Amino acid sequence: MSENARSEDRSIEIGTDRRFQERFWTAQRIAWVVFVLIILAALAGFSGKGGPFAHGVADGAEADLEYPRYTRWLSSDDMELTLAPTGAAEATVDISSDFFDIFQIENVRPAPKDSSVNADGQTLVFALESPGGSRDITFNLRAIQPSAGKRFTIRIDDGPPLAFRSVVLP
Amino acid sequence: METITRGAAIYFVVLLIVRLSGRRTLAQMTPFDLVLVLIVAETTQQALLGDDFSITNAALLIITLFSLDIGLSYVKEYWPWLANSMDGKPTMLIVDGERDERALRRARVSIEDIMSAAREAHGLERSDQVKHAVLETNGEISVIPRSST
Repeated sequence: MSENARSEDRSIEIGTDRRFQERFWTAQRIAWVVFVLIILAALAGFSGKGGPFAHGVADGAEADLEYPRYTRWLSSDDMELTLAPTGAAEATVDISSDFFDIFQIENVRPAPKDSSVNADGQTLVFALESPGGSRDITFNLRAIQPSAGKRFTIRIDDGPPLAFRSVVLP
Repeated sequence: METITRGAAIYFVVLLIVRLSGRRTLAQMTPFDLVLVLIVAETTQQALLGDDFSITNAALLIITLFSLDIGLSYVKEYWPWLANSMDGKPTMLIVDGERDERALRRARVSIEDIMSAAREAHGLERSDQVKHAVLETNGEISVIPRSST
């Protein structure tokens, strides 16, 4: 029986620890505040899957990229690439190789005319003027492993790289 | 390997959240709490299994969870503070007929909760018939009635 029990529980044999309990109640209240903060952060998009901060935008001369800034391991998400009007009949999109360490591209709409893999990553060629062609390209992604904010790049027609970071939560 | 680490991670996350949510959540099975338990169970199952529904994965997870439970029971013997943190200790709510108002407030237990336990266990009618009331580690309230002499 603890010291606490002997002093306050004169007629009952019981192992209480009031000092520990007071500390635990304080820790509990702090935890409840943390729960609320986690919920607010999730509503704000810091856990991915919606919310104002879940997606980021990288602007470039050749294209704008809306990418998942926060997403979750094994969950699906979208990346939207909007190509600037150049008058060209097709556009080449180069995605850096480390992107594929973290993400798997499950689908691309519209489908690319051609795709190839090289040491630097993957190259996709989109026909813009043909029927079904579009300057708005949607990549359906699935995060295949957690990531603490790795940097990836996308190039359009060998132009300057569009850089972005994605955090993949476990 | 992922099965073991995922199972262990989910085990500790659920344990931590249930422990920090407060003991009354364990004991009070109101319809709301029942729904909560069912939804948490379903959510946990999805996180544990992922997209692998094989017998191997299920067996590994069950073995991992039971092993953690057994292992922690031994660890608690050597580190009493861990036992306190995980299981808690009983809390006196009424001592020799006197209410500990701070304990009642901090444990989120009302006198009505105590009287409900008193009626169920002993058929007591009034609070002055209660000698001691203890909030147990499982969230139940134990009532020791005053002797009738």
